[in-house]
Amino acid sequence: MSPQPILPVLIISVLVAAQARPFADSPEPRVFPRPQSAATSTESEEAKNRYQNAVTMLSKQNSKEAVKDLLFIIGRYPKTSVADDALLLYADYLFRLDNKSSEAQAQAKQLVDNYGQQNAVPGGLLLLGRIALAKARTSDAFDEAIGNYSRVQQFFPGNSEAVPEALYRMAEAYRLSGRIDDALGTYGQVCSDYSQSPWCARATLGLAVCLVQTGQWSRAIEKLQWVRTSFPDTPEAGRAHQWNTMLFRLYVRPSLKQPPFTLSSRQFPGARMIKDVKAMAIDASGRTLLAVKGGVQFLDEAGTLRQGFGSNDCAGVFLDQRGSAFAIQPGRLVPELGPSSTSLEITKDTKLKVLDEVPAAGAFSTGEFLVADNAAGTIELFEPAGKILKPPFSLSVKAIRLAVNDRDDVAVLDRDSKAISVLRRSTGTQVSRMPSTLQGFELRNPVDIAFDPLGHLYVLDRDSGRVVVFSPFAKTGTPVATFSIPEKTAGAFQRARAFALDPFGRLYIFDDRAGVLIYQ
Amino acid sequence: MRRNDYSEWLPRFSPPWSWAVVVLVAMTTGVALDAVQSQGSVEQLLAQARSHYDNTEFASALPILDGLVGRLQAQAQTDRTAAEQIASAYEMRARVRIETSRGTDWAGAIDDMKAMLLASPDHRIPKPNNPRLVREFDLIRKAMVGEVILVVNPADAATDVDGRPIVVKPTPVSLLTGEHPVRARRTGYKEQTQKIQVLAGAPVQTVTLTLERESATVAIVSVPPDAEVYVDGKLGGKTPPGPAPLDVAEEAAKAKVTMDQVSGVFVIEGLTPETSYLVEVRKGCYVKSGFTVTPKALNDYGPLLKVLQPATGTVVVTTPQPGASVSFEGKPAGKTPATIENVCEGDYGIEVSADYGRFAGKVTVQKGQTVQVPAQLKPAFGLLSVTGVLSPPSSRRQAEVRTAVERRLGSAGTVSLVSLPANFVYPRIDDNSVEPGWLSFDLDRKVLDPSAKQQLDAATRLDVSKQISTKYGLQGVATATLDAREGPNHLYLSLLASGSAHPDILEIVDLENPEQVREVARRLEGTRPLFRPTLGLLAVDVADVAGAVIIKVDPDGGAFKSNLKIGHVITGVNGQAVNSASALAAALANPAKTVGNDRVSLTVTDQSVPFQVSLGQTPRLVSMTDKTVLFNKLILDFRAMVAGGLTPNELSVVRLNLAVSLLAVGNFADARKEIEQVKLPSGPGVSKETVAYLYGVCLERLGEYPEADRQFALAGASTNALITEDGELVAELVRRRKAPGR
Repeated sequence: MSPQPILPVLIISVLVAAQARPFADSPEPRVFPRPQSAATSTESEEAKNRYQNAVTMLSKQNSKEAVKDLLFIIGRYPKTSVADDALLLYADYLFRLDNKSSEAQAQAKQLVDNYGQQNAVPGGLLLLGRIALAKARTSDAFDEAIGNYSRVQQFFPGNSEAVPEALYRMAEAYRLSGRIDDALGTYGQVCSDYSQSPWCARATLGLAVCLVQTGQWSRAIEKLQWVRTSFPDTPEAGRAHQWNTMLFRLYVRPSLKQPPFTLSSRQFPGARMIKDVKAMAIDASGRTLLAVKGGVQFLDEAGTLRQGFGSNDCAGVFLDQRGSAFAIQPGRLVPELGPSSTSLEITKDTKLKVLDEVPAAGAFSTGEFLVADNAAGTIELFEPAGKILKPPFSLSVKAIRLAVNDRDDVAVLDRDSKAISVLRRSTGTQVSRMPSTLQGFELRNPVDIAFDPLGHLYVLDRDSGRVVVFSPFAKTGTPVATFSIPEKTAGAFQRARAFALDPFGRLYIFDDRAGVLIYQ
Repeated sequence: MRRNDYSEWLPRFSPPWSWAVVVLVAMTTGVALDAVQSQGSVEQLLAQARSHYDNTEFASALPILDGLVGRLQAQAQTDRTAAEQIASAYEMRARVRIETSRGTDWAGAIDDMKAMLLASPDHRIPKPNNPRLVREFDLIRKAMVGEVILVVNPADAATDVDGRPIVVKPTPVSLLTGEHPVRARRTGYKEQTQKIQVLAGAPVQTVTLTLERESATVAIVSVPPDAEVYVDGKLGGKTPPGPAPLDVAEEAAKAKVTMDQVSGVFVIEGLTPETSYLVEVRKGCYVKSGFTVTPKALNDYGPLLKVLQPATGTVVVTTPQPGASVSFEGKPAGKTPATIENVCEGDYGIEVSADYGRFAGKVTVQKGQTVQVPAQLKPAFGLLSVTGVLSPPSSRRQAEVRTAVERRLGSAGTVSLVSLPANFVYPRIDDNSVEPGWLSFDLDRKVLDPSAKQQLDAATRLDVSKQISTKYGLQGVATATLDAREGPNHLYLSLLASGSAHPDILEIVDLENPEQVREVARRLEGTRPLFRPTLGLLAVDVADVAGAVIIKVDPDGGAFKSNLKIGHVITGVNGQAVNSASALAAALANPAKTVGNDRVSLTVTDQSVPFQVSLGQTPRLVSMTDKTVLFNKLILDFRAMVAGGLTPNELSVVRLNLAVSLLAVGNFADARKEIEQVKLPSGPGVSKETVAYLYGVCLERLGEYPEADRQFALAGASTNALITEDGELVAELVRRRKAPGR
């Protein structure tokens, strides 16, 4: 047996991880020990060398050479000990680097079907589950994913690398499909069975989300702090810090009769030059993106205004589920990255009618774009390549803002009724509706909405100078916290137009008079 | 031969020639030399011959004397006593020869007398004897022997003539006519040899030897004898046994030692006057005596008495729990606490063993000190066998792996790994010997070698582990399996606690790679903290807030009693700044940083006076299903803890964790026994519902379903009990429970 190429594979993993959503997906392909094969020693030796070379080439981002070697092994030496690993690596490449989900699925299926109990098979099953959910968020897709993850646990129970990952992914699938009880149990199982595994840290984050969504914020805080203590210096510990900060503001401070936010001393002097901000977003690198008439501009960490992308008639900005920024323009979603010619043209019907009144847009986790067509009073769905799809729900609405969470629930702020509806993609139903008039107060002029990672919905009410935060999935929109600063007091935002949340849940509000204000 | 010319018998120069003549005389007697060689001592035979002679049994005396003569010839050449004895034998034979009834043999008698003088020129025939014999003897003696008076200066010099030591006296010494070398020597003097000419029948001459002084000497005597004497670091010799010189009697009395305790004299010679020498008198188990001597002149100094003080100490071996067996230098030394007294200075090996662990260590004993050995008994896995997948490794390879495993992992953690002797033999199960690969599994618990003849079921593994462990005084067993398919040093190490059915498997990808071995060793290090220090509050990290923010206060905890509240921000512990909840937890985990170990002083933002808060301990429980835990190792840890001095509360928590570990390795009966001894006090931590759930699992696996159901019902009643500190709700586990075997 040749030495296992763990290190090169890990290097690839790291490279790929930078592009992926850190919580929703795992970047690590696995390489398991290999049993003996029926191939001759010469064949085995060549196959091993080719496999090693493929791993090296991938680490050097020379995917062409790598694919050549992998296909050679798969085609010529399917009985060698590295054939299953080659198939897994190839499928993983197709899925994550080449964006060819269907081809990746076919390769992974070939691996699972033809290599029985071989050591790469658990990795194949995990990949099949991920591909299923990357392609769709239907109940069938969830069932398929959960089925594949279950098979890992069922057929490879002693595999202490694959099983905790399978359990974690299964719990995620339960959570995203709304089976919160099952999710809670399965997340718990990851840590009770594999307390030292990194998947336990991830599972505890998922568990915390479920606990918040079922009203157990106190236990969620406890769990998140446990992640910080038990898995220090990990990305999960960092995320737990972010989320606990949010929970502290939304639940603990109000219980002490304190406002959830206080004005930060941090200022963005560069923002004072900006007028007529239409929308805001904060990306993973900490940039504050501002959609103005001339396009998307951004404030860097130092508060300096920098030219961004997009054109004169920019109507908004949003981030897709991978964190990439898009400018909303009539008939077009312009990505920040890549030449403008690749920007998506959004047209309807076969008549190629350009949607010219698009105040809001968003993206599903599977890559499709949601676009508010205010001329028609509808919300349309487009493939990443631009082809129009049937939207999962129908709603007559003139949306001025859309927000999408990781369950692909869509919050829609209606221009006319001032109401906010939350629609579920997987069922096509309305989960909740926050009317403009609520018990004890009313939303006078809501202008912006956003989800935080725990599922809270934040609403910026311009006329009342207030931010209202609704609990996740509250049917009638019970606010968990409200925040305002009295008029003529430092930090008051009476002319707010847009807001965004940073990873710690800090509020960045653009006010026509005060510019960008930060609340922590 | 002319009968009266006796001088022709004399050797010209060398005494050995004369002995050749004596031998010839003996041979010509026609007597078998060995006739009486093995019959009694020389003295007995001489007495026997004399008795025969006195009783006129001459015929009986003769063969005895012949035999004696033959027997003593060789020895008499160098041994003065033998020479006297053979002279006596010759004398008696001479007399026998003239008395025998077969007729007088004067010729033989004269030859014997000549031989007698050759052997011992000093020898005389007593006067009341046969007159002719006396006359003949006088003639012979006059012809052969001369007399010399030797004077030697100094008088105590050792003197020898013809190589035979003599005592120098003012009386004449009889010597055969001819040349004789006289040698005198003494420490501190040059040896001197002088040849003297002796003429038979001549007047007595006086010969004087005066030795020349060449160095000083120092005489040493010691208590006890047999002490080594070093001069300037070089071993000179040892003090001999007594008798002691009388000169030291007074000094010995002062030193309160008796003369029979004092050694004989050891003389350091060759010393130069006005030169200092470092002298050390050493003996094992005694304090060495070192001193400097500086001889002033070419004299003899001393004797100096050196009384060495015993250099012994005491070794006291203790264990947390008394009753462990102590072995000192391989010999039994009682049970702990064991006191071993009068131990000589030096390094010693100590072994302590009990059924929960063993200890092996070295101790250095110094004079007058009591060395405390608080033996921390470490449980041990005995490495039984090294096997290979598909093909067994060679004996040499097995030995290499054993050595490598024992050396690199043997004392890595809270448990030790010891190699069993090579002659270890597996027990027999159902008339078959257990195969060495009985624990060869991979990390997935799959059998590594499907071709292995024998696969044991879990119950048998449990029995075998117990059987071997008990027999060899171990707490568990281990095997190593080389998997050459994965690499030449790819190793799986299986650990099985005594009474366990399922082993822990550790994989070492390359036994020769130190980093990989360290990684495995790390897993064997430390044990699970069974208590977590708690203030009775939950503090978290919040961005933009420096410190640990309290978000929950337990009404039964110390924080509540000290009036800490939700929203308070802790920024210091005992004066040490903490900027996060993690830092707070770390500070609390180190008892050294707490005040009196049970109270801490907390600095809180916007509060002028620090809060003094009681520090509690929350019990923790290992997760029964945790596949990352080495349960077999934990069982050894916990069993050792149970044997240690714990408070009742601690003991219960350890027993509960031990029970969980036993459940995890399939020993339900022992797990049940442990749980039945658990008595947890009320307070935060493990709830009674958690214990009920675990007890229910034991009972269910033992087939006691009604009682198991009752326990599950108790467990399921709680809405907030957790299976572990961070685990699932017990009620949820009860709800999801499957009923195995029902």
